[in-house]
Amino acid sequence: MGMNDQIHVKVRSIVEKFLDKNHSSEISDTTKLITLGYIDSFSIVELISILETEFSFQFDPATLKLETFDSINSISEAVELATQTKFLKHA
Amino acid sequence: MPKRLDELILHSLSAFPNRTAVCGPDRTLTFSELNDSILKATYWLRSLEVGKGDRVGVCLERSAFSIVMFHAISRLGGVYVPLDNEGPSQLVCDVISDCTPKIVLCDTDKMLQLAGQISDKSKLITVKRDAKGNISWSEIESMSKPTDIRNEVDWNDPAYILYTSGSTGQPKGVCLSHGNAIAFIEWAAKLTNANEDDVFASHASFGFGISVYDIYVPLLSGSKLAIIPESIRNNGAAICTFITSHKINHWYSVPSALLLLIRSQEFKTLPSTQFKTIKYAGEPLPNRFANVLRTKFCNSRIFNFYGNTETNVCTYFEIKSELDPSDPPVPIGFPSCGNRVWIEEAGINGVNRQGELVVQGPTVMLGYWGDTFNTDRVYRTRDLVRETGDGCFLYICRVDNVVKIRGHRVEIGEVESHLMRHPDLRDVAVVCVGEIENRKLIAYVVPNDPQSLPTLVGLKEFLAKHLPPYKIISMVHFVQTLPKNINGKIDRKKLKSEAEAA
Repeated sequence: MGMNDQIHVKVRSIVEKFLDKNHSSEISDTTKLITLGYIDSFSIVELISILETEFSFQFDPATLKLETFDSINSISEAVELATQTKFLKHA
Repeated sequence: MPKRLDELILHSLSAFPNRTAVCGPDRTLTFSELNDSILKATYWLRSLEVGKGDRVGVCLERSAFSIVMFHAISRLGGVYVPLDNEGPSQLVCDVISDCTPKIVLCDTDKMLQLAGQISDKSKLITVKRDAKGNISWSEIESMSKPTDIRNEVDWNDPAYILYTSGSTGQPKGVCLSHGNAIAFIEWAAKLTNANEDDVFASHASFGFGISVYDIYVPLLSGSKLAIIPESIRNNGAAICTFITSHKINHWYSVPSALLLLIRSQEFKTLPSTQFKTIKYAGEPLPNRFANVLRTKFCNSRIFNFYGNTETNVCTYFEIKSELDPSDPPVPIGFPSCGNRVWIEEAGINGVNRQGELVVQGPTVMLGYWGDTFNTDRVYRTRDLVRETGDGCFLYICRVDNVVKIRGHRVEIGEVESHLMRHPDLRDVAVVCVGEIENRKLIAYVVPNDPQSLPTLVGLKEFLAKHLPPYKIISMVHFVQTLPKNINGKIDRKKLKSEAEAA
């Protein structure tokens, strides 16, 4: 499994845990989490801080956009981008 | 006191021309620069043929640019209509077809979304963005500085239209006059008692009545308005940092925004002297949170404002001491802005008179756009209240089926009427459960064919075509029939208790 797949799997499990249990099975990688009301715009900050803790990095607040957190795929991409430099250093 | 919204700047323009008036994500403007921009914008809008009585849609984020546009539209005697640039484009289209604006200002992305959905594309005026994604001022700045243009405006002429959800699923345009707004602004400015060193914050969306305070009250005292950028609007920690760095000392928002601050780690870094005034409106703030504010900001004046989009603030209550957390939230209080409020009684019950709250007075709307305006200016709030002996009003609940979710008014009927349009459903009922911070909409639906049920995600997607996220159901239960009460109406109490137990 590649690095990016690992990130994707981990993001998925974090998001599933974050949502109500009875919702996680129906969420696909592209399901619009904010637009469809799965995550409200107020609790998104919590999700961001969980992601930051789990992946031990910080999103750049200047580039944070609500759309970034609208699906598992877009979250994974953002995490990949943000952690890239860090993983490269370790490699 | 000025008689029209665009005159509210005049005092500060002559007294404090070089102090900052607005600090937005796009521009920071002194009073003198703000006035110059308004002059140019007025000229620009006139070149687009905006004239007296014309509606102008403003589908842009909260910015110095939007504020300049509101003033310029008022100078031309026009009526501005703030549109949610982040909401579904269908909603914007519904509003456009309801109020038939002369033009709609929007960015390129929105223009592309709307172009396919509205018949007269020439109405859409694109406002460009710069490399950083901020609104570009090039259109206005290319204007040479023109002379003052002002069209005649009467106290009773419409100044702006704010859209709220209707129970039919069609949005309703609440039409407010210059006089309506000024009656509120004058009252609020007196209560706020600000000076030229003070700083106000803009957190509420410009389509929400609260923003009328943010946009206009600071103008009367030479104070600054700092616009909280949309990117940090829901981030309590970032807002706290913004409050500190901009030295914001007057705050007005829905309670859920205050909760964002209170819950963040950075809240404790705010000094006890940060705020002169804190006001909230839109829904009750649980006492345990009101106490956090009361204890921390011991010298601030803290107010609960009450009103609807249709009335603006019609009663208010000052929280002067700590509250018992097990008591109901603080009263909505005493009449404001020269309004008269009374109870339309359902039954007299000793001193504890209880019934629907009715408001009459200078801040009550002209009427809904498209309806004939009433001259008596009476608004029935559909809120059930009780009057205590001393003329103070206590809010009890909605008379009918309207709830507040994260500060937004949600008419359950609107959500139901959209859900009913789903081809696989025969009957629907929606209930709202949970405390203020965790409120959810739960749907009970009767499917056409129990063998092929729609999925929750499918229903959510269906609703999201027309509705913003806070109006979208969180859960669905499939049932054979909906419980009915003795009158044959859906037994919502039963569904609600079922949903709460689940």
